[in-house]
Amino acid sequence: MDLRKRVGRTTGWISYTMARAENRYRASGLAGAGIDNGQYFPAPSDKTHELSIVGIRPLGAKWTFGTTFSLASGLPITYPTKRYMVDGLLLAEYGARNAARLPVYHRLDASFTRALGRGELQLGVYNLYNRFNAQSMAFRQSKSNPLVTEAVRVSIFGAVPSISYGLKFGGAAR
Amino acid sequence: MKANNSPVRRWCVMVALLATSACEKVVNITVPEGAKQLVVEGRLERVRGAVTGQQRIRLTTTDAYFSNTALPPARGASVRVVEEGGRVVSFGEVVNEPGVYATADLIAVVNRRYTLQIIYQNERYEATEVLRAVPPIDSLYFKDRIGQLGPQEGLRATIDFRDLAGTQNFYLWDQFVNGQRLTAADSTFRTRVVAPDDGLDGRPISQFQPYDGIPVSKGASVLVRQMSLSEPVYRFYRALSDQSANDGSPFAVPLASVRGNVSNLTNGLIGRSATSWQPKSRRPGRSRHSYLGQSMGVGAPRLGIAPHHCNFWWTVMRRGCRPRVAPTG
Repeated sequence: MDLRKRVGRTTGWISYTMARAENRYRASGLAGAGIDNGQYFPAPSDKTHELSIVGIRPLGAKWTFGTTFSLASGLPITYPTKRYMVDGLLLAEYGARNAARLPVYHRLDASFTRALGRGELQLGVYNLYNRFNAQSMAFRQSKSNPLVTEAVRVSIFGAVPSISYGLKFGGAAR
Repeated sequence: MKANNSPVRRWCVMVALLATSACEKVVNITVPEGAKQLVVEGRLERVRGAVTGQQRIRLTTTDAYFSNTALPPARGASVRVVEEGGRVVSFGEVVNEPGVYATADLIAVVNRRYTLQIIYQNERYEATEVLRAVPPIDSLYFKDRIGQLGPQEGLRATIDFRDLAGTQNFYLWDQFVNGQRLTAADSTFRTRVVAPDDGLDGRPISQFQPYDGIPVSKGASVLVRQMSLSEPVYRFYRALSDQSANDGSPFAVPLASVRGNVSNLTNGLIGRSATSWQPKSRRPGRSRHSYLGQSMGVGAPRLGIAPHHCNFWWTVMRRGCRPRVAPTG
C-alpha cells in the first residue's frame, strides 16, 4: 500500500507492507516428525508488518534534505522454556520454533544531498537516534556465575554516519 | 602535525566508536515455563589402569530457564542397568548426593551392550549403548600452540596417540587442570572437544592439542582423558557444542533442543525420529588432527508430558597418563 503526497515543497510517501513467510520441514517417511512436528512456523526473515515514511525537502538551490522512518515487526525468535545441565554446561530446552518475536524494529535515517560536479554528494546518518534494534537473541550461561543463564540481545548497527558520492554518467551508456 | 584536533580526525574517531559500539547487551525477558522433564546424565566407565565396578548416574529435572539455582535432583527413581546376557545391576541413590545413583558392582566390558532402565514418577525410560574401545594416549607433553589463529602465548597440553585401525572412532577429550575439568574448551571453537577419526583410520596422531585455546600456566598439574564415543553420542556432543556456542550471530545455527539417546517408554514414544535440525558441518581439518565430519541432532521424538532429553551414554575411558606438571622454567 502506497500513499504519496506533496505539501508545499515537501514531497513524501508512506508505504505499508504486510507479508508472512513460513517454513515447514518434514522428516520424510515419518508422520508428525520434523521441526515442530512438521508444522509451519514463521520463517527466520519474516516481518509481518513493515511501514516506512519518507520525506524529501529541498533546502535552497543546491541541498536536499531527506529522511526515512522505518517501523517493522521484530524478527521471529525461538525462546527457551527450561534449562538443564550436562557436564557442567547449562543448556536450554526450547519451545516452538520461532514462536516469539524480537522487540519492534524502528529507526530514522536522515541525509543531506547536493549536486557536486558530475554527481551527487550525500551526507547522512543511518539510525539517527542510535536505537539498538535487536538482530537476534542468544541465550547463554553466564561467565561469572555458572548457575545463571542470561538472554543476550545482539544488535548490529547503532547510529552510522555516512558520506557518499555518486557519479552520474549522463546517457553515455556504451 | 596538528592533526590532533582536526575535524577530520574527530570525525574518524566518532565513526570508529560508533561502528564498534554495536554489540551485545544482557536483557531481561520473560519466557514461558515448560513442563518438567527428566534429565539423565550418565556413562559407564572403564578407566585404563584403574578398572573398577564403580559407576554413577546423575538424575535431575529441568527447571525454569531463568531460575538461577542448581538443577533440582530427581530423587526416588529406580535405576538399573541390564548387561548383555541378562545380568541386572541396580543403582542405589547415594546418601549424601541427592539424584546421584551409584553401584560398585558393574565392571564395564568392551564391546558389550548395556541397557539403562529408569523408572521415575511412574514413567519408564530406557537407553542402550555398546561400550567402545579406545586407544591409549601414548604421551602427554607441553608445547606452544600449533597451527591455529588466536592467541599463541603459553603452553598447551599436547598428546600423541594412535587411532584404532579398522573401526570408525569418535573421540571426546577432557582436560583437567589442577583437578578441575575445563568446561569451556575454546570459545571460538566448541564447548566439548570431540572429533571423528575420518581419514585417519589406524594412523598415529601426533602433537594434538585438544584444548588448544587454553594455555596451561606454569607448574599446573594437567590430566587429559581420551574417551571413545558411539556416533550418536558424538553427534549429541556436537549438537551440544553448537547450541552452547550460539552467540546470536547471523552465522550461528538455529536455536534448537538437543536430543540424547534416552527414550520415554511410557508416553507411547515408539521409535525415534531424527530431529530435522542439522548443524553445519565444520571443516577446520587442515592439520593432521582431524576435525572433519558433520553432525546432526540425535534423534528422539518430542512429545508429551515428560519426554526425555538425556545423554545416557557409555564409554570406555582411559586415563591418558598420570597428571603431568607443566614446566616452570
